[in-house]
Amino acid sequence: MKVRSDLLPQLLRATPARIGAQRAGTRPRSSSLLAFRWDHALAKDAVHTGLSPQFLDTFAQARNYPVVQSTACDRRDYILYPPKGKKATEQAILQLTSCCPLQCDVQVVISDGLSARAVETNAPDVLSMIEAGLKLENILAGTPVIVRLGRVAIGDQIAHALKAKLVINLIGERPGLSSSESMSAYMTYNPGPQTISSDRTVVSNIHNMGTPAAEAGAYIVKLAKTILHKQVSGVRLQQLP
Amino acid sequence: MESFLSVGIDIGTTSTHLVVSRLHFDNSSAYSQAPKLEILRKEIIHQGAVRFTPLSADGSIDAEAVAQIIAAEYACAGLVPGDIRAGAIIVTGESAELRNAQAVANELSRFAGDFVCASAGPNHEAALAARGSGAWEASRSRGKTICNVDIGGGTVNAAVIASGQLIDTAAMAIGARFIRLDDRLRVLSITSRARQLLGDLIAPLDLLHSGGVPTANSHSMSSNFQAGDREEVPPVMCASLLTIVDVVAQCILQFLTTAGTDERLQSVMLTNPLQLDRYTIDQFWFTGGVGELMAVSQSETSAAPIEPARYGDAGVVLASSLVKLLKHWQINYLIPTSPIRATVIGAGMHSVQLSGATIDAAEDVLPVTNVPLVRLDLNSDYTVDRLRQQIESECSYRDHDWQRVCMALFIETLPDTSFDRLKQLSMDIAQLVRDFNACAPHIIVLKQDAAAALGMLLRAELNGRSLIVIDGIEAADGDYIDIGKPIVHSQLGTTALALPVVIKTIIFRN
Repeated sequence: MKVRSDLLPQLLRATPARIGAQRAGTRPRSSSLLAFRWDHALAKDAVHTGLSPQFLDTFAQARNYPVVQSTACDRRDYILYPPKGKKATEQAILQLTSCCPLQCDVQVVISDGLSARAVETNAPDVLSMIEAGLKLENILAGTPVIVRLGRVAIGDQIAHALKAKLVINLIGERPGLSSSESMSAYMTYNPGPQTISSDRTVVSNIHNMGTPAAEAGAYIVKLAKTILHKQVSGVRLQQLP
Repeated sequence: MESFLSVGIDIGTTSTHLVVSRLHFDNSSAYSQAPKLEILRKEIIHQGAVRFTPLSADGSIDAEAVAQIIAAEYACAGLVPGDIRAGAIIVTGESAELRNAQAVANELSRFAGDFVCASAGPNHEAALAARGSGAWEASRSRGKTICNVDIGGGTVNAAVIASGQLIDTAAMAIGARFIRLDDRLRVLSITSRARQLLGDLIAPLDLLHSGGVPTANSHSMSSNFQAGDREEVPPVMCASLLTIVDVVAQCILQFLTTAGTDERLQSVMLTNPLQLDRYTIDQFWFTGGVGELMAVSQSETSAAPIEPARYGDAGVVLASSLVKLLKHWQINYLIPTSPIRATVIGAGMHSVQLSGATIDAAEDVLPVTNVPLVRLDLNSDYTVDRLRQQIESECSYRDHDWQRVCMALFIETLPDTSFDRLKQLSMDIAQLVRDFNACAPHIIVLKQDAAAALGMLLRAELNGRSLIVIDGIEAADGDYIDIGKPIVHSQLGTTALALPVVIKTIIFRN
């Protein structure tokens, strides 16, 4: 089918999906193929790259946020054995309980997940907004904790140890071909060993082309307020009248 | 999916009509994402009859009679005003020039339902007709440039839509009722604007009907039919009358197809002319009362042609003259279904939009109506001083006192939506609010998705003052905004609320 030339730019603007890729003979056009390989390489890099030393220096150390690691020993171990990323070492938990305030309303955890780049790009703005918003709403927040090689569930364990009512885990999403910088916020009320996936409320697609970081932060504050008020999160929150 | 009812009421030069539609909305975001409430489907549930616009003896709009029309249509649809959640009442054509137009529109908007907005203005009218006719959607889906031309009793309103974007509007003050005829096709009156336009061409008519019937300056819509002495000859349109209508049709097409304004058209232009050197129009769509008559005139199957004197004006003849000229000049045109209702459908179905669902609003101050929008240009190197100057010049231009009457700051583009940017902006806005000692509520309207964040930061700066910050809104310089009480989605509860918003112009030209 012949694509009308005046309509194609309009359709391309409407979606980040790979439409109008066109072909040369039996293969994609060189520019389409290169674009695909570029995006694929970015996605692979995002998965295999950890939090950069600069980020840990300028963001974590400068603000005095503790940095801990999951039971995975390196990136390869973390990717090959997913359960290792869900738990923190006992030593890490001891370190946190000694240096962080306990029994706060909200505990923020920042984990690299499957895209450290997503965290480096979005977490600072989301966190600033969450802190400003929680202060306005008179909700007490603990010291944010940075986790290397961390998955979603590790936030529950940390917040449980710190006896927080609500955990917000800001974590890099599995990258796709249209964005490798997308972050999610997983929120669990009363987190602990008993927590299962359906207990978590999630705000996903936090990036410049999705929900911008600061705006997502403000929405997370509203959700946090609702969750603390109703004392429930996840699917059961959704089902409340 | 959930829904609410919206009404559109059009009080035109000749006719008044009403349409009630049901707007269905839902959260269009994925389960895990920040919500977005969107109107996903629209359906007309009641289409009122087309009636003559009721006028009092002094030529002003008869508000009571219009209210009766609204009440009768609601009754016919089985509705009460309390069922209507939103909508718009638009005073169009020459009715907008009548001296009580604004008061009547405001009064009726309160009568018609909970959040029914009063609006007027030739460009606004043109845009609503393009929405209601379907030209806008056709342009978007086909990637074409379509000019929707709404011709009513008093005005021609043109809106140009390119690939779903409104790129131009213009209007001229001539329509079917530039000349009033009796049932014998004798001239009763000619508007002063038409007299200016037609000049010497009028003379033979005046001679022909020198019984003193034609009254100069008669904008009056009142049916001051003066029967005159009846002669027993069949009604025949005299040649000079046909010539005049042809000239008017030519003027209309000249207005639509020729760049720049001819000296001759100057007297009837209500706005700047179309900027035809900037784009090429693929197709013209004709709507309005004259559009309706054009549909009849061009259909060869139509059994009985309408008698020329049917509506007591030039409508029937003007329509056939336009069709003849369009065909002769081989202009690509189309007449959509229900052309006479384009504007009212536009007002009822397309004037209400929903704001983004992550916003910040003090609900107790809602609704707010007729709030002027002041557009702020925010380059990356803006300063508070420059914003202050922009506001000052806008206030003096529009004769607006921000201390006494509230105003909405419209920020179309932010250089970025980062935390630092929004934090700085919230401090700057708070500074402006204090400097101007601005009247509350403080209303900020954004296009980009940043209202919840900016609202939260601004609330910290302006502790305790009532605040409305919304996003997802498109508007233009000189527009006004109405913001209604939240539209609540049963599953999302209060974490995500969208506000119904109407962006409009209010230009009553009396």
